[in-house]
Amino acid sequence: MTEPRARAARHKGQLNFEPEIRDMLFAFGDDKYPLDETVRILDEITTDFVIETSHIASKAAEYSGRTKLKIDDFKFAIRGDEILTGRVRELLAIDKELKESRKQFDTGEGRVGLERGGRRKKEDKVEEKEEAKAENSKPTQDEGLGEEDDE
Amino acid sequence: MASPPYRSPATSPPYPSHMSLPNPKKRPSLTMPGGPNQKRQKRTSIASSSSAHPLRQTSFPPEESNHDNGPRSPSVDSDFTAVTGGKSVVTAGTAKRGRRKGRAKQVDGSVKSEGREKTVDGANRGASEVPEDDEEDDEGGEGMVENGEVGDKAAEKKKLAVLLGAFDEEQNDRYVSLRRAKFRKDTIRKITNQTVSQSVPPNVVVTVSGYTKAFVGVLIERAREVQQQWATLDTPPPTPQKVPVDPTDFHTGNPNNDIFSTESSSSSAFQDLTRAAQGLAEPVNQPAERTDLGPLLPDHFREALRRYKRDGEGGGVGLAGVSVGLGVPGTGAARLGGRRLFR
Repeated sequence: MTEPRARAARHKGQLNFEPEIRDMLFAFGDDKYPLDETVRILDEITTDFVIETSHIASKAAEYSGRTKLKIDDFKFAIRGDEILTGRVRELLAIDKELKESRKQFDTGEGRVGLERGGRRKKEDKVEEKEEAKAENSKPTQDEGLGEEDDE
Repeated sequence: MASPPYRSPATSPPYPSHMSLPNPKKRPSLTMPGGPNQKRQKRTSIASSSSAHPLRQTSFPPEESNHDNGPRSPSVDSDFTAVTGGKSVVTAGTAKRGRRKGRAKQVDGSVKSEGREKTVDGANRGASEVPEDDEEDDEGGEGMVENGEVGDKAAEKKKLAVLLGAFDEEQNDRYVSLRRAKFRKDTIRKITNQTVSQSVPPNVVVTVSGYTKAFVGVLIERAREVQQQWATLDTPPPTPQKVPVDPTDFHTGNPNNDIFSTESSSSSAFQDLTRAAQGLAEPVNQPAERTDLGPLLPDHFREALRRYKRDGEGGGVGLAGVSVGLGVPGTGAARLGGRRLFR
């Protein structure tokens, strides 16, 4: 673990999250075409936020005697903020549900590399989380959301 | 005494010291002939019926020792683990609702508070159902998904469907963007990996993206509040001092954000316009309807960030020693100017 090289990840004249920040500004209430300086400053704030929470998480892992970071370290890093902690819990609960419901449908037939069962599971979790996010972000029709979405 | 009174060497139950404890209390209730032998057998039957694992609790307070709790750890049956999870989500919902203003803001505010309300209800209902629910044994603090939540989901989905049906086009666009917007995984991974000098597992990247988006949302909402508060002022005022608020009281709106609004409930829209036209610097209580104030400015975000740090809400922003000097008591590294105390 090293000291935070905050400026090493700094964009060299280019924004880290340009299109995403624009979408989020509109989504959370700003104008449809936000100002460039606003996008820039929000990008910087976000990058700093990621860096600092990662740094806190790495310190937590170090004090626990671990070199490898786990999700728990990041959950610890944001423990002070109730909204973020609640959001993370919500996401993990959604993913867990998805996994449970998938288990019922999915017999695992024809899956490549099923012999190495352990390896596959971890990737499944990630894939399902991604799918969960993709499904959560699908645009909704009049009927509302699918069964996995509970936002 | 050298040895416990009611045991013969032949029986040798696994836990000699525990067994002697309930005996004195039980003695009055057991009025049987051949008392000592009877108690010995009762004791051994209790010992043998429970699990033989050396660390299992087999001795209970006298009133409860007749229930065979078996392999279940007592803490799973308690309401504590489930309710604790619920509590943190309750505060999230309340805090967010307290800041809800404006049409567009209502979109994500209602979505998020609905999402949290449902989880809260599920957790609270689930807490009472935990003793009967054997499947949640291994979940511990993560057990937010209880069986009681299923009934709630249908109701929440209906409410959400009604809400979505009532959106006009712009609100619908915003909602679509809200659900779709997410950070690119490889950028987040790059930043995180560079910070911690190792490669993080992919689910960590997903988690970080998730809470970063929530953080951005909170910040934008605060920036909008700032924008509305500054709308009638000529020059932005300095950040006011923090009003000491009981941190465990989540029911009132945060007074730190109401500093600019006066309690003039009688002010009508006409009065607002008149005041604005006269260029008075007197702050006005803006109604919930957001008149078009234009796009957000960087200044709004800087002020929003300042307030975020001042209120101490963000455990993870700017307090780790990377950027020091905003007068907020941070972690030890910040106080020491970035040097680590323990190497």
